[in-house]
Formats: sequence, structure tokens, C-alpha cells
Amino acid sequence: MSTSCIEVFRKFIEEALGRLSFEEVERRFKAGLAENPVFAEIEKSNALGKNIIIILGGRGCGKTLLLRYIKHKLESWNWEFKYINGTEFSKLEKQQAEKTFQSIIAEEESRLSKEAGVKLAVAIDDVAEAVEIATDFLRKQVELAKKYEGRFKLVLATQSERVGTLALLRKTLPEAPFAEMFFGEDPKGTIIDSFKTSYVVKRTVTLFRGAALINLDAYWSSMRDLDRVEDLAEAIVKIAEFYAKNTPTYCADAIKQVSDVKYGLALIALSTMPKIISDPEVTIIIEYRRAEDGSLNGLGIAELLAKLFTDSEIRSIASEAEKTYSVLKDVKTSITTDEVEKALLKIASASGYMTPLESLQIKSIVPIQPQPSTTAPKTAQQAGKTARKYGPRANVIEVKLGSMGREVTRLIVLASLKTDRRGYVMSSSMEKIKELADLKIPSKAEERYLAVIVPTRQDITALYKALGPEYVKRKGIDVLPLLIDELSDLEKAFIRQTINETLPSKFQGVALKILAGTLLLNLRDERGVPHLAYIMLPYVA
Amino acid sequence: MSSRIVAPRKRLVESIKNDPFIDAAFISYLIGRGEWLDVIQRQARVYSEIGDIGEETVTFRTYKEEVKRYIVARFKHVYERGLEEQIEKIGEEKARRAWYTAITLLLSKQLMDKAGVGLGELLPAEYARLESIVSVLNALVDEKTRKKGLSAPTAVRNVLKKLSDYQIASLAPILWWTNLVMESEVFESLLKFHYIVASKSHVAEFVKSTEDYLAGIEGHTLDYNYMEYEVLKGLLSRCAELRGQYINKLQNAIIFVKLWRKSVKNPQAWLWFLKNEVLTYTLSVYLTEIQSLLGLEKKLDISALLVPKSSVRGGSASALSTLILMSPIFMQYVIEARREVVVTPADIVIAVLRIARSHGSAEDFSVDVHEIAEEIAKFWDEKDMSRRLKLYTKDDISPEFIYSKGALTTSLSLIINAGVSGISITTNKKPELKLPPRMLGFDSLYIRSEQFLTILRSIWI
Repeated sequence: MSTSCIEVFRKFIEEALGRLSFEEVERRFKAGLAENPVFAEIEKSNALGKNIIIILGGRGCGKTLLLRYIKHKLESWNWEFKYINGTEFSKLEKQQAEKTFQSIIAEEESRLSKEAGVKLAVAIDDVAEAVEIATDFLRKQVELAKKYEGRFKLVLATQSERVGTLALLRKTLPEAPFAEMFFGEDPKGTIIDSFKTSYVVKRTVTLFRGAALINLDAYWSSMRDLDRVEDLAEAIVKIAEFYAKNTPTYCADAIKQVSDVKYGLALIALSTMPKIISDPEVTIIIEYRRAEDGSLNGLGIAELLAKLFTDSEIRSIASEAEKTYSVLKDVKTSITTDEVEKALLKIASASGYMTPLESLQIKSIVPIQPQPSTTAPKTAQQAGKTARKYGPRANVIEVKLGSMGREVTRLIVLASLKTDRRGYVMSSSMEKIKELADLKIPSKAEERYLAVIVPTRQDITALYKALGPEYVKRKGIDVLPLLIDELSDLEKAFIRQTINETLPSKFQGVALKILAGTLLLNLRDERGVPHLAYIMLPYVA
Repeated sequence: MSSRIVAPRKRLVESIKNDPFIDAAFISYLIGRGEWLDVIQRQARVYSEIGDIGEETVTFRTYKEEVKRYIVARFKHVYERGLEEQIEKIGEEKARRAWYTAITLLLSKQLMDKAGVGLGELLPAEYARLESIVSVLNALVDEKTRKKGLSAPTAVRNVLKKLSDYQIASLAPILWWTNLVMESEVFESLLKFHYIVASKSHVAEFVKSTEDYLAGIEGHTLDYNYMEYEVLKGLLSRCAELRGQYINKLQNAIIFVKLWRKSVKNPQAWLWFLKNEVLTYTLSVYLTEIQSLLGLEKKLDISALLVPKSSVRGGSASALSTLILMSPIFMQYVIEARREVVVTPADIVIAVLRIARSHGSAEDFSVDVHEIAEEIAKFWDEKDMSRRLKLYTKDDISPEFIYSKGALTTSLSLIINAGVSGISITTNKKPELKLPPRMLGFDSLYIRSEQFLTILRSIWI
């Protein structure tokens, strides 16, 4: 009996994994809509009260389900909800499309002007697909939102990774009439900036004057933190419950099985990598499920739940992870910059597209040496050191990424500000950074970066000192400071265990992936920018 | 009195040193390689962020070394003697300028992207797709090196023949820019010539008095036009320091700017260039007019305008100087592509400065756009630009016409969106005009003189 109930539950999830139409989603998911953790956050922010709502998220983030929820919610507030599929527009000929747009607008206008009490919410799904053909139509919709403020609501949903999305956020919406009424004085910069920063600052909902931007990926980015494993575990259980409530019969057994290894499942969910979308102007981090690897979002978790009941390997890794978590969560430790360097090299070797080059001769990556600086050799001699014949060495990570059919090769040279026993930054480590800068290692144009691991926020001043006035302007461009004092205890313990390979062997591979999925995002500069994530995460396509 | 013979100074134009086909080869070699082009594109963004133009990159150093060998191999049949030594001497500087050309081309496109206007209007839509220019540059070099002794104008003509009118107009701004930056000293001497020509009375008086004086000789046929032509030619030789060389040498040095024109029937002739030229003439007028309105000394130095400014307002000063430098190119491109007249950012800057001067001290003021249009028309008339523009277009140049042109708002949008503080839009009566890209309504400009003038001054100081 219980096996078949689990079977039904699993099948229900598996069927939901494919791309479902809005109608299909509506038919399948009726119960417990308000209990979804993502929706709760959106509701709390009052985003649904705004006149224009933009919903963004990578593939599998639950965009259509959110539309379903918005419909449910708005209808309960006496709004009439109309769903339009943008993909349909993209299939139309130009003239046909014009006709369709005109008739939609005419219908909306006539209803709003004639029926005083009517409140109309129009949701356009997959709007990026149609952004080219529907630019004027969308702008007209924005105009309507202004004209019938409080009675006309525009909901736009689009997949973050689509090419049209950036055009929608950078041109179509900001250049619409009255855009400033909805997005504030500088819509052009504001909308795209909110999209860019929302993931990094973990802000699911950004509220503007009369609009809201919901980045579903940002909800999940807040879970990309070993310190929040417990929250993630709860979210996973809640999602499982949500599915269970919508299956014909509620399967308590399945929920129990999920709950038993919820921390393990959370850790496995963390072992995925966020992805990058970029154009020359902007680089944005999103959650996205690529064919070969999972994602930390609704789809990724649903897949994980389905696998839990079919794949014994996943079950055993999950229980192994569960045990490891229970041990690690109470460990208090501190780590050094060297250990972080080692961890980054390990992450690189496990990634499949990065190569760790330990203790590499810098000369071999900057072939032509500039004029030797007149001061450097003198100081070396004064200190009684013999000049090194082959120049400095450093740990380097080579990143090879494919983007739009072209391969990008980046070199990330690692350097650390090391502290002595009393906590002072050692001048030798500062000299090395200056030396690397003098050799012109940092060059964004040539995709060479100098990543400097800094022990504490206060030590940033030592980095300024090391770089000197000549190079300090490169900070944040191709000299990338990474603070380690803001890593959590759990993260530090995890790094220590992973580089020492003291974790259970079965879990070691997953542990490296977890580190990649969290450390790259959590190593940030003093302004909270995760530089490594931007240059080391894989592209969507 | 000493009768010592003063050794003649060096001539400005020399064959190898000022050969634009060699310039073209320098550029095509740089942007023809995919991976180098990627570096340049990223460097252009770094340049606009921190002002680093990338002269210390491995790419630039490698390019500098390799390109010299490439040029020697490519042109050894054209120049049998002295090529290697000359390239060794000038190669470094040429390579640096080629690098600068590519980066600034991309930067000006970034300015247009930022404002969301201009491409397809003031410049061709394909502008800054550097890879598309490589084949034309190579075709030019191939044509020139194909046969020994083939003249430069013939080589250009042969390539032009193979292109459509649309292609010619679309490629023109990049070729003009390349020529301007790579041969900047020669162009600076041309600006000097236009400067003296712009002061009409100066030349006219000389022509009249000399011709009248000659008329005192029996048999002399009075011909003011011919005298004017010869005087202008002589002045050009003086300014370009030809020192006995044929004027064709000068033509070869400025060949893309002079011959890459559809609007001129016989661009090889000199009369039109001496009297009716627009591109280089307006550049000279813009620079001298702005400098005199700011109370600065005359400085016709193109490379000084290109150098990134590092002062507090460095970002907007660099952007504004790029816009001023590009303004004549906008004007000429629209003539070539559409036979129309445009109002450029430099015109607006000058009109604002002229009005600011009439306001006396450095007070803030608001000015109706109609007044700006009137001032531009007045400026064009005074500086002999209206006459020149009318020769190439059918537009009837009047303040109403200037006011109604879309380019006025486009150029204004470029200035405002480049982050130039001290100039903003406002509405006093009725928002008759719309400022792209967001089409904000306005009818006047609000000028904070002190701020605006400080930024402009910091271009030169």
C-alpha cells in the first residue's frame, strides 16, 4: 500500500518536471498554494499590490506556478485575471500580430472605460519571446497601467536566460511612456541594476514606485549558504508536501522519507552551480538547470525528490551527507588564506572546465617582461636576498568556458595577504602582490585577473598599500579582493575537511561541488561583490 | 647683417611616413585577428571605466612587434628603398595610433549605446563592427600593392567602384576617423588652413589688393577667382609645410578623407576642398570657436583631444571631447548618406556658449530651444557653414528648419546622456520637443554656466 502511494507521488512529480502549460499547471495544482515558501515571501513584500509586476527566473524556477498563485490571489481580491502566452505572438506574422495586439488593447480599453467597477490583470507569460514583435504593444500596456491606475495590472513573466529578457529590461520597459512613474527617475539603469544585484544581495522582490521585480532565482540564492542548510531542508520538505497535497491521495510515507534525509538532500541540492548570462554590458548570475547538471530551484528540487525514490545512490549519498552535516554543524574553526587558495584549486580540478596550475611560473603567462622596475631589485639586494632568476611563482586557475559558440580562456592568479601570529599583514605578501601587478598580471582586456585573498575587512587597507597609487584603480576591475572573515563557521569547517580529504570518500566529490556552489558566491569584496562567481561560473549556453 | 642660409625645416608630408595605405594595413592587422579584437573590445570598456588604454598589455606589445614585419613584407614591392628603416623609426608610434583608433571608435559607439540614440542616424548602424571593415582595408592595401607605381587615388577609385553607394557611406566614418587619427599632424595643418580661410576678409582683402596691384601692369587680365584659387593653394602649401613638394603628396596623406566622398563629383580636384569642404573645415571652426568662447588660446591639436582626462570631471570631459571631435564626422556622414543637414553636439555646445556669453557673468539661465536654433543658424552663417552645407543638400537652412530637425534632440540627448553636468532640459511653456530615448517633453534648456564651462575647459587644461 505504502509503496504504491510513493509510486503515485513520484509519478506525479515526474509528470510535473516537463514544461507544463499554464492551463495544465492550473489543473494540477490547486491545494496549498499559499503555503509555498517562495510565495509567502512575495506576499509579505506586498509586490502584488503594484501596477506592474515583472517575474524573472531561470528555467525551472517555478514561474508558471507563480502565475498560477498570482491568479489565485488576485481573483480572491476581485481582479479579473487574463493569461496570455507570449510564445504565441512570436509565431505570428507581423500584420497578424498587429491585428491581435490591436484587438487585445481595444478589448481592454473598452472594458475598463465602460465598466466602472472592473479590475483587470493581464499576465503575459514568456514575454521575452515576443519582445521584438510586441515592443509597441508592451509599451501601450504600460500606458494603460498608468491611465487606469489601480484598475489595470500588468504582469510580465520571462525566463532570465532568454536573449529578449535583457532587451525587455533595458529598452522596452524603460523607454515606455510613463516608465518613471513606475520605476523611478532613471528606469534605464534601475531595472537592469535590480536584476543584476537581486541575486547577489539575495533579494527576491524589489519594489519600485509603482512596479515590482520578482527574481525567483534570488530566493534560491539566499539558500546558497551552508549556514542556511536547515532553512533549505525545510523548504525541500515544504515543496514535497506541496506536491503531496496535490496528488490524488496524500502520501505521508513519502514525506517522512524526505524528512528523514532532509539535510542530506539540502546538501545535494547545494552541490549544483549557478550559471551566468552575459552580454558586453552586464553579467548576471542566475539559477538554471543545464542538461548535465542540476539546479537549486523548484525544478532541481523536484528532480531530486523524484530521484530519491528511484536512485539508491542518491539515497545513500543523502544519508551520508545527513551524517556529515550533523557532525560538522557544531565545529568551530578558523582557516587561513592558504587553505582558501587550496580549496579554490581543488574546486577547479573537480569542475571539469577549470584547470588548477599550482605554483606556476608567472613568466610563462606574461611572456614579454616589461622594463624591470628600478626599485624592486635594489630592495631585494638590500634585504640580502638573491634575486630570483625565473621570477615569481603563483597558484593559477585556468578557466575555459564556452559561450555562444566561442571559447573564453581566463587566467586567475591567486595571491594572499598573509598575517603573522600577531595578526599583522606580512610585508612579504604585500611585496608579492606589487610584483605581480608590476608584471601586468591584472588585465581584464586579456582576461587575466589577480584574485587577492584577504584575511579580514580591515586588511583591505594593506591591499591599497600593496598596490600603490599606480594600480589601486584596478581594484574591482581586474584586481579582485576576496574577504574570508565573513565565511561562516560551517563553511570554514567544510573547507578544512574538504582540502584535508577527511570526509567520507563517497561524499568527497559532492563536498567539492558544494564548495564550488557556495564558496564562489560567498567570497566577496568589501562591498559584497562576489567577483569570483562572475568569472568562474559556467555560462547558461 | 648675417646672410646665413637657414636650413629648411623638415617637410611635414613624406611618402612612407604619411602613407594612409600603410596606416590601413596597421589597422587591419590589429582588428583582423579575432582574439586581438576581443581584447580591444574589452579594453575599450576598461578605458571608459578607469582610463587605462592598454598600452601595457601583452597583446599590444606583441602587435607592436609583429606588425612592423608585416608592413615591411606587405609594402616591399611598393617602396624599394628605405622602407625597413622608416618603419623601424615610425612603427611604434603608428602602432600606438592604430590601437588608439580602434579603442576610440568603440568608445564613441558606447556613448551612443548609452544614450540609446545616434546609430543609424548620425552614424551608420553598422558602425564599430570593426570586423566588417577589415575586408575593405585589405582590399585597399591589396589594390595599392598589386601593381608597382599605381597611384593612390587610382587605388582608392578602383575599390570604390566595387562598392555600392550604401556601403561607401557606411564605411566612410570609420575610414575618416582612421585617417584623422593616424595622420593627425597633417590634419592639424589642414585645420590651420581652414582657420585662416574662415576669416574671409583676411584672404579676400589680400586677393583683391594683389590682383588690383597686378592690374597696374599692362596686359594683365584681372581675375579675382583665379587669384583666390592660387592664394588658397599657396596657403595650404604653407600650412601643410609642403616645402616644394607637389600638392599630390598632401592628397595622398589625407586620401580617405578627401576621396571617400560620394557628395563630390570629382573629389581629386582641389577647388572644392579649398572653398567648399565641410568635414575638416567644421572641425577647425568648432575647435577655434569653442576655444575663443572659453577664452583659451587656439590649439588645433587632435591628439590632445583624444587623451583621456584624469581630472575630477575627467569622465564627462573625455566624453564631451569625443563628441566634439566626432561632430564633423556626423555632419559629413549625413550629407553622404542622406544629403541632409544635421545639428551636431558641437553646434549645441557653441550655441549654449554664445548665449551664455551674452548673459554676462557665470549665472545660471534657462534658454528656449528656439533661441538655440537661431544661434546655430547665426553661427553657421557667420562662419560660412550655411553656404557650404547648401552646396551638398537641398535643405533650406533656417532657425525653424534647425528647430524642427530630429537631430537637434538626438545631439542634445548624446550630450546629456554622456553625463555632462550643467546642461539639462526643462519646460517653460509647452513641451514641444521630446528628448530620446525616453521621450521626455521639453522646450528649453537649463544651463548651469559654471559647471558646464568647467567641464569644457578641462578638455584642454
